[in-house]
Amino acid sequence: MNYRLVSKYLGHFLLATALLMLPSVAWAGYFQEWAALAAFLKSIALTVVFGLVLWFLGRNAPNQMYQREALALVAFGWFAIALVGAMPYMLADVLGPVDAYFESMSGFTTTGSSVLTDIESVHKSILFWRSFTHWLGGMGIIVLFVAVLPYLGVGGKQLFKSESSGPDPRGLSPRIKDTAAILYRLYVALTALQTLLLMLAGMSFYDALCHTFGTLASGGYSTRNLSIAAYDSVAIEVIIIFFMVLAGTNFGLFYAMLKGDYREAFQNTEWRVYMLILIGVTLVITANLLGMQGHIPGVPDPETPHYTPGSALRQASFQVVSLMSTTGFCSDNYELWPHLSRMLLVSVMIVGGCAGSTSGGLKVIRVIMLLKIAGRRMELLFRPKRIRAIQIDGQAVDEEVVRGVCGFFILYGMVLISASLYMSAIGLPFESAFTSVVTTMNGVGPGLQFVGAVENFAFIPDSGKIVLCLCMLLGRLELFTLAVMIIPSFWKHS
Amino acid sequence: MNIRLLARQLGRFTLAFSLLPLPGAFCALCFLEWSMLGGFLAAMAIAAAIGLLLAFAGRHARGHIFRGEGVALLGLGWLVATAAAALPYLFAGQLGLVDALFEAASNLTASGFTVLAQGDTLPLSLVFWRAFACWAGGFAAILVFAVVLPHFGAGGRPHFSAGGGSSDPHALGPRLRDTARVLGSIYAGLTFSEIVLLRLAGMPFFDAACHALGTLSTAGIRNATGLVPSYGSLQIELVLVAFMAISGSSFALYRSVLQGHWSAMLKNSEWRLYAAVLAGATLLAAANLLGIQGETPRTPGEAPVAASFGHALRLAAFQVAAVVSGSNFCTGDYDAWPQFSRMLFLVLIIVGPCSCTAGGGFKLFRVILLFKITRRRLELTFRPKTIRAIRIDEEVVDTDTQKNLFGFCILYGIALVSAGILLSACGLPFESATTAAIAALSNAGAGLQLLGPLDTAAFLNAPAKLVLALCMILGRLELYCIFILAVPSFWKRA
Repeated sequence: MNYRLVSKYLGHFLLATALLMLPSVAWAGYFQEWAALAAFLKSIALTVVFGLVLWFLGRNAPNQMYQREALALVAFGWFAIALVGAMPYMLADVLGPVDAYFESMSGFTTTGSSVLTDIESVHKSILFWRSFTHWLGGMGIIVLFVAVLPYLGVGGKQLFKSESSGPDPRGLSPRIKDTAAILYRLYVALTALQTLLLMLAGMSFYDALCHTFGTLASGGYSTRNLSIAAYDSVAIEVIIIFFMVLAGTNFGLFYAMLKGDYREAFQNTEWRVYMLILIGVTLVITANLLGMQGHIPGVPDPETPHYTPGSALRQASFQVVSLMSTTGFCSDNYELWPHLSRMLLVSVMIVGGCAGSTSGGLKVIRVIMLLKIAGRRMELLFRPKRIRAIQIDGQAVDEEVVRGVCGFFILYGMVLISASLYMSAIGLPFESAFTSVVTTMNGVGPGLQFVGAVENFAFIPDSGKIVLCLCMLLGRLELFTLAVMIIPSFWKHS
Repeated sequence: MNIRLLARQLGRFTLAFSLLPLPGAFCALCFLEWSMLGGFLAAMAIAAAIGLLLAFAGRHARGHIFRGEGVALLGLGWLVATAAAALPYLFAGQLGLVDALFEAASNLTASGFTVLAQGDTLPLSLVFWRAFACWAGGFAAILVFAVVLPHFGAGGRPHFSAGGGSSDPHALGPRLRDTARVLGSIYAGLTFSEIVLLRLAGMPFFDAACHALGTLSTAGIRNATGLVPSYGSLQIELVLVAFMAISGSSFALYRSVLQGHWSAMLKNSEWRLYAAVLAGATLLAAANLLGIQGETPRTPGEAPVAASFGHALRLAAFQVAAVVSGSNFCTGDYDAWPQFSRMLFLVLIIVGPCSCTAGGGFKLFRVILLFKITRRRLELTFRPKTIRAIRIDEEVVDTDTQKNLFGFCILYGIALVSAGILLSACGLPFESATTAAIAALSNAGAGLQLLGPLDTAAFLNAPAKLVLALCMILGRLELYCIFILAVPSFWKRA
């Protein structure tokens, strides 16, 4: 491990991060929040100092980057940016150190789990920073899936098609820098578009911008205590649903569509399954909200409020899209919904959006592959001699990718179980312990029960918050990037 | 698929199975329960008639049993056996059709779920039949795991029986007979010793017999209170703990021990892990019972369950041994224990005991393999070129076994999520639905909350009972053999 090189790049990275705090400074000036302004300036100064120190430590590093250094840089980079991102919360006296780190990590990993009990009492410029961390995190994810994941063998190659071998169907440039630049432009364009639409629907520029950041990064931080429910506007909900669906879609497909290749986009298996799940689950939950639900004598049902067919469809579609795209905005308290709806919402959280998007979760493409692998194993029982590769979109999936996906699934289960066990040890009941881990690992935001739609994570003890921070980062970095660090030989000199 | 051959073999199997209620009938004779005697005889007659009918339908069958037919025979045979085992309950007039099927499925899979709220008011011969069906089912499960599934290449532990997965259609019979003789005598011998020891410890003979049958099969027998009638005797609890621990460690190992290889046990990494899990979980649960448990503002801590270390150890040791082996015995209501214990027990239920036992769940062999595979995948991310085989106890685990394990994990996930969704659609809350599905898939017999260790399943509605019954059978046949019956191409002519 070439520590000095990692240190040098981390230094560069932090110096760049300092610049990213400047927009918040402007907002603090605009809203005349002098305490927040001071906090941001101090944070910038500290970040610059950290950056310079790290850069100085690594100034003479041998300039040879191997896989280990890249992995370490990604993981440390994420830890470090969450650390400096936490400083404004602390210096403005909004949150204590662990809470601030949790809030910051939740922002950068585009999770959206919050420890703020009264959001509206916080400085508006701090809230802008909070939403802006989502947007920056979304940018980071794009770099991750274009530049890093394809080389890790966690099914990454298959996850972003433009990096696959052979003739490139979408015409995206295989060169990392170009690909990233195209995707960034798309990301910025979508941001501008959604902000504009939200303003037309009646939001202020500030609210529109913050909610756009939360939507496109599939984050979920709102500037209101009641999240989207505070606006109670169908137009706003429809716009946000639309952009949440986009945020959960493979960004490579947008590029195909921009080029006019609609068939390519609509024939993409992953996207079709994604839409199918969204629509199917929405319809089932709508029916469920209208009272279609099995009943067991003696088992109390939640006190679900009355819904008309229209309102049921409206709330069901918003919640399903929000949780499956792992955004985590809420327009209704689904904690009061019937048992089936709650179970389905947790299930779609685990599935998550498409690969190559800013959403988290297992990802639809992995779920499809897992189902095909299981089918293949069963077929081998009665047709032992038939050997055929698993195919997706007419392309054979490489054996190594299949193993990568299986390994991912297994590690996912292990992390889920061990983190849930820890959360129960600090006193959380089953439902809260399990769903707090599910929601953070998948980058969603809210879970069930004590961490449900209208709750927050403030009551969780510090050690639990740290474990959840790790879960967020593990999920965000597709598990493997971070989990390699527990292997001792990773740290050895090669 | 050779349907005629399938019918003939299924008929022969049903004919043989129709003899199973004979001990129940004998018991009814001893206790002078004439109506029950009639019930048992009628059940035997109907099963025999169905068997003859099936055999008649397939009398012109030709050809050999290939893998496809073998797998179908196993899956269908288990379903037919379940139906036949439900007949005595139906004729006893105590249970409706769904309840009888549920109870029979639970018995034959040695799960320990029950719908019989008041075991004490049942005819004694029926109580005995319940225990005996568990015992027979438990033994069948050992054979299926040790011989049949590896023969099909469907999970199990292939290198237990010499030769491994073979597609030779003629090899199964002799090997099955040979293994059945050896393991059968160990199984029966252990049962007999436990009856004697329980009797010596002061349990009445009938109870001792039923409890011994329930222990070795890892089913667990519940009486009216749901608690083990230990009559306050430490000896009885100790005997049960010892035999639960014995029934959870590999019967294949006992064979080696009987052949004089005393060190086989200590050298076996699965068994060592088993011992470590038992000891570790007991200590953790005991500490938890003494009040070592985190608390949060939302979940205030409760008074410790146990007053002294000895008491805590006694409760914890019994419950851990019961839960790991999947025996549904209790000396305390662990659903009311602190959150950590509840979650820990749930994890132990998923993990299960050693392979080649009547216990359910993943089995420790698979857990070891999963950890090794994950570690290997992690190493591959930063050392892409290292190729080393995965070994357990010096034996190389071939890629086919690994792939089967992947398939198992995926099918487990599919079964768990679908069962959870179906159960919540039936009206069960999140916690009960999830844990009941886990307990059924692991053949453990009790989950948390509404289906906790002291609860019966009697309050459930019919669809929920059928879902749970199916899950038990799925888990018992290591998922593959039931799932495959739903694959359309499985039934096509080869």
